[in-house]
Amino acid sequence: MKRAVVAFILILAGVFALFTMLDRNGDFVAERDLWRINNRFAKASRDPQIVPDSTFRQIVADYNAFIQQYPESHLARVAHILIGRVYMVKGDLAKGREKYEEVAKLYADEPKIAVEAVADIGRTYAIENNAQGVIQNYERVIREYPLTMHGMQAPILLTKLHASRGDTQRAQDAYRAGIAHYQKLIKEYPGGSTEFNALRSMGTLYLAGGDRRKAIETFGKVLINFSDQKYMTSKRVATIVRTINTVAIVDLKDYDFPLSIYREFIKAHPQHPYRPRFEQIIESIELLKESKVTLDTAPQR
Amino acid sequence: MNKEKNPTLKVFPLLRISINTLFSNGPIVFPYLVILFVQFLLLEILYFFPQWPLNQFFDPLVSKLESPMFMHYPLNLALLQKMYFQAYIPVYIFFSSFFVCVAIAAIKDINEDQKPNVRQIMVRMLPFYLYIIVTAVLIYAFSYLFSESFGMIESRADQIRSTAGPFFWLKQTILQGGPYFRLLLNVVAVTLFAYVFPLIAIERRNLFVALLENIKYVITAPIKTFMIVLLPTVVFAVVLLARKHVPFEGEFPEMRAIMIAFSILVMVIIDAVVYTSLTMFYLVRKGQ
Repeated sequence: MKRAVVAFILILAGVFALFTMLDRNGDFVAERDLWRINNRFAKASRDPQIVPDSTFRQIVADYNAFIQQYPESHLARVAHILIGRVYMVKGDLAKGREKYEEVAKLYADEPKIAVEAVADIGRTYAIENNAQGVIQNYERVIREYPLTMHGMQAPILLTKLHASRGDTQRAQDAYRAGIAHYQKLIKEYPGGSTEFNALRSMGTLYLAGGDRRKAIETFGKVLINFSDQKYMTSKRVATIVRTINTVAIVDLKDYDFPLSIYREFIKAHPQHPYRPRFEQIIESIELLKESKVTLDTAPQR
Repeated sequence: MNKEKNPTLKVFPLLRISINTLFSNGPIVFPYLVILFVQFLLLEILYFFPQWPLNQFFDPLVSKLESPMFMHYPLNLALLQKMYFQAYIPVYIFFSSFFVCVAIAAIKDINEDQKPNVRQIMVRMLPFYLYIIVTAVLIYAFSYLFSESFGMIESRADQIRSTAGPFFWLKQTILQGGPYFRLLLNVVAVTLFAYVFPLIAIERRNLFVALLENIKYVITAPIKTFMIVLLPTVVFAVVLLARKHVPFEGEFPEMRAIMIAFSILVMVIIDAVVYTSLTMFYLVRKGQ
């Protein structure tokens, strides 16, 4: 029986070793190793003031070792950015920016990664309360990474930042520049996801700039021109419809504007699976209109 | 044989003698070692399911039945327990039950002063394989049925809105004690079929005769049979307690896998003690 026990243990150990070896540098193992470093980083980030510098140095060293071990893994990019975040949490913002610049240069041909690093540079300026730095960073994102999600969001955030600082003139300039930027993107990249994202962002910017009618018009265009479910997921439809209804009915007290958008949608896409949904929305708005319910944004007393 | 003086007819001495018998007789322990080995091997293979090459098979399956996020660390470990227990059902029905019967037959050989040969016993047991499988299915089906019925009680308890008083305590007892009640119901299911395996392995009865005789044996000593199954199984409460108190979300998520391995070890030991005790109890009663 002893021999059998030894054989069982050897088989179990052999199987364990075999499976471990087969995927030694695979994605899952990389994911596990990165999770462990991230876990230590998250722990150190809870109260960075009392964590010794050596801990952060070790975490950076671990991320670097990870990059060395899994250079081909998509997670190596994440590790690079996380090194910058370690410096950021530690309070060494200059070094953090240096690292982020290095990442942006290293992944210059992968805008989705590079823009993450550049966005984090903006965060380092925000920590320093350096509004000028943040503004310049937004401008850089708009200029260098216009097609990324950060690039799409940047004009909106820039406008809001100027407005929040009470700089009306610069807010208006940023707003106009933003609208022009989106219109240029729509012209240059018609019919695809870039136009879709640019239209949605333009609608949001119109709202931020107080141009509500144009905002609703733009969101209406998004609905009608991008009815394909690849773009128009159920969640997105819900968000757009909610925005259109709130702005048109509550703010502008205009029932006909959303009705015309939804009717146009049904006319343009009579076989669309969302048709019953829009017919129901039309019915609800017509009921509201007939009963002359006044919806007010002011709190009820 | 004087019933009062025979220590094997009292539950605690019977359990003690069973444990001693297991310690001193390799051929009885061996089938349980095989069961343990197969279950560990199953767990080990499932542990590697998100890694290449197993992910080629499991990725579409897990993504469709659960969520693709379970293919990533450390969430894969959260799914491991469910996967293991689902995979364990066929292993129990087609494999473990057979080796339990081999162990029971080895006890009979030792009782008759014969030297048990596991290989020969396995060959001897093969014609009864179908009966063993059906018995295992019945035990599992009853256990599942009891568990599902308790699930309905849990759902009802969950609807109790009281935040104090007897109904609140009833709700708390049912919801918090769920795993313990399920363990108890499993003991009941095993008790109902306690002597079927010994009757097939020792007496080589066909299934229907074994089931009928089992009823006779259970009815004539229900409390003792129940206690023989219950007392060793109570040890599993330690595993349940540990599962509740060991932190799984900390720095070492692999703790989940270790806890499953620990559960397997404890469960196989419990099975070994339960079936050795039941077999000895059966042999003594048969001798009377």
